[in-house]
Amino acid sequence: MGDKADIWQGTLALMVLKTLEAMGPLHGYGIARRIEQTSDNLLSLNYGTLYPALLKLEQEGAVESEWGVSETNRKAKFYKLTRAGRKQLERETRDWEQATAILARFLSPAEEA
Amino acid sequence: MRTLRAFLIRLHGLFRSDTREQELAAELESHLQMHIDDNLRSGMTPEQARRDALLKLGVEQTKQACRERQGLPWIETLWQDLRFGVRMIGKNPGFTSVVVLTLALGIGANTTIFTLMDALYLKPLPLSHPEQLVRIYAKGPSGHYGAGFSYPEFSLLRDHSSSLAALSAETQIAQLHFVTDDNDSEEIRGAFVSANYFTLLGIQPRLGRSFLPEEDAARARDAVAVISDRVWKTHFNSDPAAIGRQIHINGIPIKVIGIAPPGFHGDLTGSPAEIWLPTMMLGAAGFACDDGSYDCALFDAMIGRLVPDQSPARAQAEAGSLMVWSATNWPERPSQRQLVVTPASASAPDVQADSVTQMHLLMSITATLLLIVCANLAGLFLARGVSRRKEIAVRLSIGARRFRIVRQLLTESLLLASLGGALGLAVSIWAKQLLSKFYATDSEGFHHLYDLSFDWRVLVYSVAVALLAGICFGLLPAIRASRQDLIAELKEGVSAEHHTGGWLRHGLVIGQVALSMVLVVFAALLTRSGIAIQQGTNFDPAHMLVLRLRPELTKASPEQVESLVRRVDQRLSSSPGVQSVAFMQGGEGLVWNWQNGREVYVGLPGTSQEALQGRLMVRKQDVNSAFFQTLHIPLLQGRSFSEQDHDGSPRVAIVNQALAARLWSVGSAVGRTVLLNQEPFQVIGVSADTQPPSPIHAPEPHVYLSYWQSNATREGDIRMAIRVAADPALVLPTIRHTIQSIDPNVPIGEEMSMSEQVDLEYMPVLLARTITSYCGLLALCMSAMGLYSMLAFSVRTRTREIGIRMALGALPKDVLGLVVRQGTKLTLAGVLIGIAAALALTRFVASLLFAVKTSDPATYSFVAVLLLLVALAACYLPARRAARVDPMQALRTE
Repeated sequence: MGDKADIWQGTLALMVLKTLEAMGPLHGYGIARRIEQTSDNLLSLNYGTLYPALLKLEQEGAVESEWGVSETNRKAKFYKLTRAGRKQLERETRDWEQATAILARFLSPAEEA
Repeated sequence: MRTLRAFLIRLHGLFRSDTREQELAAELESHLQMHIDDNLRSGMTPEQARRDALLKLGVEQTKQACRERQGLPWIETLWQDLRFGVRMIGKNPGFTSVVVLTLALGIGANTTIFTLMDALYLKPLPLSHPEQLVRIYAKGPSGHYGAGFSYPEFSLLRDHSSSLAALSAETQIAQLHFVTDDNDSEEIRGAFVSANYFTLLGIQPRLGRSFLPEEDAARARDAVAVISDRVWKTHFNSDPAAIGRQIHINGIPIKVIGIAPPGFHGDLTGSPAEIWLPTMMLGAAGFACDDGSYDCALFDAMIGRLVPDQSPARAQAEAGSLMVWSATNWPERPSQRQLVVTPASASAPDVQADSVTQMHLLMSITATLLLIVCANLAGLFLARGVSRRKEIAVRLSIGARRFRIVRQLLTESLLLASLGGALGLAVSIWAKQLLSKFYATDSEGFHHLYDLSFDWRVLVYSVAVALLAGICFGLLPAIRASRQDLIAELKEGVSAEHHTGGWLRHGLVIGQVALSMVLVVFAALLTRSGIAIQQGTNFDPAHMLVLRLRPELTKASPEQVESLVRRVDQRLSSSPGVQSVAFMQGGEGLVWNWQNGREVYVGLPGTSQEALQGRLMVRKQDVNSAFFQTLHIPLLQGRSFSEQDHDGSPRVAIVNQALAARLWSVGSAVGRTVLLNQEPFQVIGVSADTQPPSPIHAPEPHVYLSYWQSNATREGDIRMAIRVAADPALVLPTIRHTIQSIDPNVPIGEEMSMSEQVDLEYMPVLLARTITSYCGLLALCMSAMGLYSMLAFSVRTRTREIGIRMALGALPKDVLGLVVRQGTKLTLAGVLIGIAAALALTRFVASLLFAVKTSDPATYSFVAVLLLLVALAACYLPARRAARVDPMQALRTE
């Protein structure tokens, strides 16, 4: 792992949802690569944790899956955001922004004082 | 919502795992391929590309993580455990059937007693909102709840209580003489109730109507009745025209206005009423002082419906304050009486307390049996855990967690417990039939009606008992079996004795023997009491018939009563098959009973008036001259009554031994004078006490007077006891016929053999005897089995040691002694603990013991010897096997 950061608990689902929103339908490997690229390869993503997370999102109805053909002509399972997924993404994004904003205020040097 | 959706999908995922598995494999494979493609494109060699892709994904871990996410792991493991359990159970049918059968007997006994509890106390009455119904009793200064209410008290409470929405007065009469206009007659139990009784309970007649308010407004005016469904079927062939027909109750004509719905038997569990009449008819039917005054306590109890969200306690407080007035309005029965409001499902608290004590005793006895069963099975499972230790060690070493092993073993025992519980339910159906006879009639011959059918309470109870038992006998062995030293275990040749949990298994055997000792001692004491009771104490109930003539119910005059009694006595005495006839003036209690008769004050001549303050009150019986001879009650001194002891001759009395001893501590009682209610009587004889000796009750004093001489005669209510040559049940119809040929209309009740009446009167003793004997017998078998299996196992695990001993010169008889000594030592310890426990606990059965002391040395030694003999028998087989060990073989095997 070294200097790469681990994925924080619970944020993987949010990243997956955001990736699917940005990229449209995508297979698991694509999602993984995209997450790594977006983080400028700063995040160390264990690919093995991605699939259970996808399964969970599918069971909860946030994404749905379909077999298709990849850009490299491989048969692959494509994941797509559902309407419920979009809503979940909006809500979680909002929550996350709020949480980071609060944390930022704590961590920023005390200006008023 | 999301979680629920996921849960349902995962539940579904439990079943389609094959296609899912393939799909997952395909998805991961395509992931790998794409990754390898990328790696190749970035210039890696094919091997490097593949290695890198595999490292980053970790196919198997991902698959496992997805699998766990796909289904519900805990259900899957449960399912695995169950399947494994079923396989283990099926693999060992002998073991399984022993365990299931043992459990079935233990659980069945408990379920049976609970079924009785349920029928007696827990099942709600089939009335609308039974939880709102309360019963109101008047508790007298002597502590019993039958002091009763007068009409003014009832109307005061009915009109002024704010916590009661409605109130109805009620008097149950155990014996009403019921005659249809076709002269079809029966003695039935009925109730006199207020007009609102049926509406208050929420009962709609199936035909006709219930009472109108004005039908319970004027004394003796409205002769109307509602009859039960059974009476309608039996006496009117379910004819709807029964409405409006005339019947006679105790000789007065009454019109039938309604038929109660099937299954309605009044508001008291167990004592079914068959006919209901307005309270205003009580006087006309011949009961008590129906004058409407405060003195006349007409009603046994009142039944009320609480205003919603009122409690019985509130109602009691309010009723209590309303009743304070009675101290001023009613100086004769001042505030010593206390109002008690109870939920309507309960009988009077004093009656209830007695039967609850009885039930607690029975429940403790069956619970003890179940405890023995659990100890027994725990021993078996400990032994089995040891013999399965290799299997468990292998599973632990390939990574099973201890918790998982415990859970799996526990699943197995719970599975067995459930099987045992199911079979136990079947056992209790059978046992219930056996016990229902104890609750069918009371000693006066009136039918009881308890609903002994299973309901959800019984099912829940038996499931709970089964699970509890499963955990009881399964948990400890499971934990022990999973606690292993793996390295030592997997190595060959480690002695099993290290792992047998020796002290635990010994403790279980000692415990079983000790508990069995207690049960068997109780069973033996109760059996001896039962024998004493059924043989009769100083009277002989065999070949006796009892019945009760009630000519007064049909308004017979004293002359008619006298002529009836004389003619019945003469005709019966000269009937073939009848040896002699005893009869007596009715009274409460039973024919032979010291509790029978009316109370009189007893004094001696010359006692001052003050001394009479603490005067002796005893019951007297007016009996005919053949009474003592017929019942075979010995006269210890003097003579019996004769035909000469009639009106006008010197007044004579016979006292029982207890009274004689009380009045005259020295010298003979015969010839002395005794004052009964201040009138002098000459004692002509002393009879033996007929009360069975009890560890807590001293014999009660009792006095007999001559029927034809006593002033209480000619009232009717004649109890007869007839000694016959043949089986009483066969003679009964002839006797009944003979009486009816003298007077076809005389009500005859309580007809049964005296043995039957004795059994019914001592029902609690005999019921406890039956249950304790069954449990004691089973307990004995269980402890023998427990000891046997413990020793057999110990011999098996010590084969090597025994082999060495024999190789070093021990003879077979030394080895035999070794095993027998081990068994006897444990049994002896159990017996000693059991004796101490039994001595400490007998006070709980003391009230049921007769003619035997709670610490009777003969019984205790008999049971101790019995247990030791049974233990020796249980030792024999394992000991013989030990003695036959071939040293060479033994040393080679382990």
